[in-house]
Amino acid sequence: MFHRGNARSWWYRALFAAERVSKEFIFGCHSCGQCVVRTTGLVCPMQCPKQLRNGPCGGTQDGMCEVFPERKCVWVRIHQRAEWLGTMPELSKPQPPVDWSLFGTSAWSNLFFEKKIDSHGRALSDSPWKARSFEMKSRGGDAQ
Amino acid sequence: MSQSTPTPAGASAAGQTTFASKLRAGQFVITCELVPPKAPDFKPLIRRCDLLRGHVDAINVTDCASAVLRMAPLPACHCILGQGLETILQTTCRDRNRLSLQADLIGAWAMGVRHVMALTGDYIHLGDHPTAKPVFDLDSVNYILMLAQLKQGRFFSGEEIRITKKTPLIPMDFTLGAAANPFGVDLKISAMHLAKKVEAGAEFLQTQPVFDLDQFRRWAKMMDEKGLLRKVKVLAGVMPPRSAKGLAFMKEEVPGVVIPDALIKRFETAQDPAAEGLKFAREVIDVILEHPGIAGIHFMPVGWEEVIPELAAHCRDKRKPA
Repeated sequence: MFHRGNARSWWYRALFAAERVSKEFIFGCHSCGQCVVRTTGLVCPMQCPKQLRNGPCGGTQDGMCEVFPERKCVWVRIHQRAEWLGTMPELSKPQPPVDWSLFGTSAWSNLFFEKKIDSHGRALSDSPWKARSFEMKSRGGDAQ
Repeated sequence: MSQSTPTPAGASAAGQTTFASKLRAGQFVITCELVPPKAPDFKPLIRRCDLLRGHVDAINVTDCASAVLRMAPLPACHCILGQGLETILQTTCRDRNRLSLQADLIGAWAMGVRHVMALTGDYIHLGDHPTAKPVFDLDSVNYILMLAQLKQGRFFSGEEIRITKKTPLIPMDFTLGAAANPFGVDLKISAMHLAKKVEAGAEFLQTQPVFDLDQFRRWAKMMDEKGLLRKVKVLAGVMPPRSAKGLAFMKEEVPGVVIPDALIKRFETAQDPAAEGLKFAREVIDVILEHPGIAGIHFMPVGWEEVIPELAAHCRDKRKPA
């Protein structure tokens, strides 16, 4: 993916570089710009080869990844850590679709300065992220 | 099938297909998976449709299963609808982003496809084009949410589905399906993911083929305890195995399929593996139908469609329609 942050001002690039270095080391960050690690037990779900943010795919075998059989499924790690950290209620809520226009931008900037996301990586109401209205409407409907 | 007005095969006066009305009425349903041909020719599909006609309620058309190139599911659905059978269009997020998924769905609705199954898709490295770029724009839960919104007459962008501004809204009222893997992962994790799919709007779940009977029993019990079997119709997967070699290949190459070693041994020592396969399929069906909450059977014959009429008859004997 193209790092959109690289096309910004020097202070933005400095902030983004600091975020990338620290978060990649701690959580395995993939710079999606809409950080959900507070929900997912401080494990970055974008480490999943399919970048799934709602749960494991059907290819998991004995809790191991379909693509890298020697690696534990990211979602198994997320559940273990979320249970330990007590974030299961938040984890059980459906995560909205990824806004790929935020990919490769600084989640810190999106959260603190630009106010695009909340601390759980969900779009704030005044953002152009149409996925939010999409999620609200469809869940109120005929899903029994 | 007329070109201008969509007339889905088997649609009742209310516009509901036989499969959807049976499913919603809680009647026993049988579906079968067909893999589209790897050549620009409908003949293999038509031959297999002839074998299945009258024995199954709907046919699942796979979307490049295991990431191996095949004919796209939409034209294959068109062919099957033309044969007078109902189809379930399988679509994966592996090859399509939200734009492309909706573009296909518009065409599908216009063509008369009324049931859609939303899948994440097998990863691309397993198939015959391992160097291709995987998409995975949406995940299966968000794909189901998008489909639920199409049912209400709105695209993902929020725009209403109309021909022109003055014409009435056209809700694309698909019957939504999703996949479930009872094996592979811890039951608690599986339950949370499936609950999300059901909350998003999935009406039926089709499972991976059942080979490990004990694990399936545990999974069905968990689904019952979580109250999910009351909210969603579960169609359990049955694959009649033909040989030990085939089973070993499935175990190694197909993600999400769990095959106990004892079963492979059983087929290695069998005198007539084909007869043994049929016998095993019947055993699996018996175990699945022990559970009253299971709404139907989903067959995955992988080229062995000849046995489906016989197995479908066995299912119907076991579970007489109410």
